[in-house]
Amino acid sequence: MKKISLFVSILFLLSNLSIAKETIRHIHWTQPPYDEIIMQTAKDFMAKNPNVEIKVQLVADADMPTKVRTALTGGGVDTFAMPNMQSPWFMANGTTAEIIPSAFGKNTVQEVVDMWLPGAIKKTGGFYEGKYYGIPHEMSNYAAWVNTAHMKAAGLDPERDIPKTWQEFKLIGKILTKKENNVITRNGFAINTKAAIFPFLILHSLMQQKGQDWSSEKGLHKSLSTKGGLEAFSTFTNWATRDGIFDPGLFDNEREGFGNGLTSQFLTGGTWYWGVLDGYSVKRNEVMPIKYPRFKDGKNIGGVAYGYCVFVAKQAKNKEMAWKWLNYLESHPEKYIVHGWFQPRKSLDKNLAAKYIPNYEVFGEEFEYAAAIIASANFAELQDAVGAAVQRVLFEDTSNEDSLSMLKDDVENILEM
Amino acid sequence: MIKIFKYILLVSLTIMFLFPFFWMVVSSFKPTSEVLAIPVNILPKNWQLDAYTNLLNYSEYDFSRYFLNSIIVTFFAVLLAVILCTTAGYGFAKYKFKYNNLYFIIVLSTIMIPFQAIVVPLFILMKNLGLQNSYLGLIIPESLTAFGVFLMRQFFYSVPDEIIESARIDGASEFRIFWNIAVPMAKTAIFALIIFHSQWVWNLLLWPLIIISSPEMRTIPQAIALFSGVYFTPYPEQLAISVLACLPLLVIFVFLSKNFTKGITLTGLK
Amino acid sequence: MKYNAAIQQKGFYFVLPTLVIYGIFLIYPMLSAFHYSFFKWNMISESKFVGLKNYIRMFGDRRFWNSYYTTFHFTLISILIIIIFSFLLALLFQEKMMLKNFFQSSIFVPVILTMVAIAVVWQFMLQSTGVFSNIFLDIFGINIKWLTSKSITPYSMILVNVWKITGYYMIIFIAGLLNIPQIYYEAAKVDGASYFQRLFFITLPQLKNTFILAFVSGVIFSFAAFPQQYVMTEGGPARSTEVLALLIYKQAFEFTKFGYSSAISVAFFITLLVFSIIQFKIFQSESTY
Repeated sequence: MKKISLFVSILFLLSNLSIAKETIRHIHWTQPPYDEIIMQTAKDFMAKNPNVEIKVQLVADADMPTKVRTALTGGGVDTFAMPNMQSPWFMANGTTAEIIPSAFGKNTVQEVVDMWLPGAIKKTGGFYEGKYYGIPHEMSNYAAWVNTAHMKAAGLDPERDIPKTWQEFKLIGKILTKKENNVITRNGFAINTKAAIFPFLILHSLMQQKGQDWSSEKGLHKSLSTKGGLEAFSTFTNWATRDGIFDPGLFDNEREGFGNGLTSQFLTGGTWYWGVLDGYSVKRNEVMPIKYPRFKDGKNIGGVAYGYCVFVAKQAKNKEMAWKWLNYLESHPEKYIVHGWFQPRKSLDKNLAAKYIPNYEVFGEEFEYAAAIIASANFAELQDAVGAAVQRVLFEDTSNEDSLSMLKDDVENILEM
Repeated sequence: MIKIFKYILLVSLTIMFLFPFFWMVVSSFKPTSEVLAIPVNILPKNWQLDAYTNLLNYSEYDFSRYFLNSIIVTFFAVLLAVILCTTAGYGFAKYKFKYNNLYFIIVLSTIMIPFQAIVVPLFILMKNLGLQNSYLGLIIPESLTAFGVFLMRQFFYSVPDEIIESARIDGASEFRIFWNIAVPMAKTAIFALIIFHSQWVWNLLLWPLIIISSPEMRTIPQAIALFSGVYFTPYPEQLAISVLACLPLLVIFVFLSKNFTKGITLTGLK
Repeated sequence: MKYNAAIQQKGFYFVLPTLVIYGIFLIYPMLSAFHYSFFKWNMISESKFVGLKNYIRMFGDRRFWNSYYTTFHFTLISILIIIIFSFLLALLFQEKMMLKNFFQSSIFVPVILTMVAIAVVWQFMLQSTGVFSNIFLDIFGINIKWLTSKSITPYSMILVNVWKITGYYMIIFIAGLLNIPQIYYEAAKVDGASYFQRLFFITLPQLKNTFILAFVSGVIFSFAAFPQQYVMTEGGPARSTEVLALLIYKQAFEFTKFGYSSAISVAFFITLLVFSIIQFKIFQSESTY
């Protein structure tokens, strides 16, 4: 009897072990209404894979890098999302695992890469120094947005008069800026100068248009001592200091400002902005996204392309299962596109994009000419230094030349040149 | 006439201090587009409860659970803080033991280093102790307040030594003296400590953010921060939950400050 | 005498639990941070010993000295205003009045509001078409750049700070005033002392401990303040509100320069330590505690 019960209990134990659940802890950023899609996808995956438990942790976007970093020190994360500005740090410091083709049912990494649009993984931050570590969760690019109702009210024609060059952009801005008692009550253009990332992203396009190479650390450094770089930089700062079309004190967040009708143009909106606009008083039929203006003698480059990828942490125990989960997570682009969120997976029906995203042709066309952002592990510091350079000119009356010269020193310190 | 002036002054002060809060409450009844609109409208055009009802509808955000977490953590952290601060404050103030001043400076030095500097080492320590993502992991670090020790020490100084001495002569143990004589005398200070510390713990964001990994363990400040979206912040909802979040603290404050009693009862010397 | 010393030594047991818990959960991490100040560490990879390099960098770093100055400026002016203001308020509330609890609570409400919500409100009030700007434009005819001027924004931060924590210190002074035995006042009244005489010869001396507490803790807390700057200005414009605590946070969590951040924390710590020791020596000598 004793031997039998021992045998039975061992069998019982073993069977319990084999159905012991594997846990995959996933960190993602919160953005309604997409949170529900992610949670539902996790539930569906668990239904298909009963021995796996997916624990999704949603944090505010700004907190995500900190959260993932601390989780990595404590061994508390297996997969995570990260924007392409931050992901190079994680890839460069060896915290991410390479793509495992078998988890996707493929034989080579290149076959996996080909499941997405050409260049998508690079533009969304999943590629670093020759290796692929992430798969895209979102890909967006910036267009310029104009309030056509304001234009009409000022006697402009929303078809003919939309700005195609930066010169026109400035002139339209001047016409559309409103003042009362010398205080600007409506900006002709606006950008968030508090958070360095936004000026950085606009400058990126301006610099690339002037023939500079802001897709590499060396290129960025070089641009700071060129005439083209100075011109790009000054074009931007002049909007506030000389052209009188931008008062940073009117409001902080240009996405909100545009939605509230307090600025007539802005340069940092992707396809997702349509959904955002619905929460504000300005109506969809009062605005229009257009191609980024160009310099008359500049290169044909549009607004920046950026995105988010999802990664497997190197410390994850079962990397193959982790990649299976991520592949599943990223296999439903049709669920996201209805909200205007674009995932560059080849399986996505192109007609859906055109259907759900008004003026999609602007974004889609521009994507080819979008500027690819620098992939640098020092991004946070570089972005901060550029933001400081802009603030020096705007708020400290420093000249553009002096500010760029100081920026050059800062960059040399950061890159330890 | 001075009285009228006094009331005018009080009302002006109240307006200055309360106006932002008033704006918060009133804006939680507006739709998002109205909150930051210019020209400024202080009162809503159409009062709506949407922000509050929406809070109940966010499927992954279990606000009542977050409230519960905040209540549990705050209650125990404040309790532990009061215990540690009153005992330590009393010991530092009323006894001349070896290295008293040195120990006090060491304790006080813990508020001289910014919390951000110790977050990471503390996190690693908590992980090694197995306390991450737990109530204890929140309660213990959040009960630490050298300011509280400082506060109690200053107040215990004003308890006359004669009372203590006479109690000793009467044969009372040190702990009895502490518990039955000194603590009642410092009631006002203890209430002040409870008010300060509970609002500090309740509004803490950085530490819970680092140590909590499962959504069920979130505290209220994290929930409020979650509303600040990348592209879009639903202000009415964020303000609604901020208003709800400060109500418990307001209740604690009103209740305790009513109980600020006057004077020291000089029982021993009568 | 022996009897006395034994009893005095028992006091140590009151202090022991605090010493142990603070030792484990605060002192040990502090020593850890101190240790990291001699290393280069980004929280993930192996830390690299760099000796005094972080400190050398710090002393030559204009950004560090800017933060140091900004913090002192913010702290000293805030505390001066707050202590005087909160003490006067506490005096005001000594009198009998209607709705005392309501008035007191109103002044305390800013203390309990969460920083994120406050930031939204104040930013809205301080922007160029906000309430404050409108008032100043109407009365003084000038448009003040509350949040977009390197010279003015630090004062906007001080304004918000005063608004937020005056109530806190008011409570400390109220508690302190309540602990003054009424007998002193009654005796003085009998002797014919005026309000101001009672104020200067009874109230102020009796409140010495309270003033010390308010001043020392006020300086230490304001020195470490950063949520306000983090949420409202992110240290701008042009780093004019980048206080030390914010710089420490940025270096550690945004730039992942944890070693350098720790070095700045050490400088921060030593500054406050020196301050505390100085005040200790000044006020220790008069032991009317």
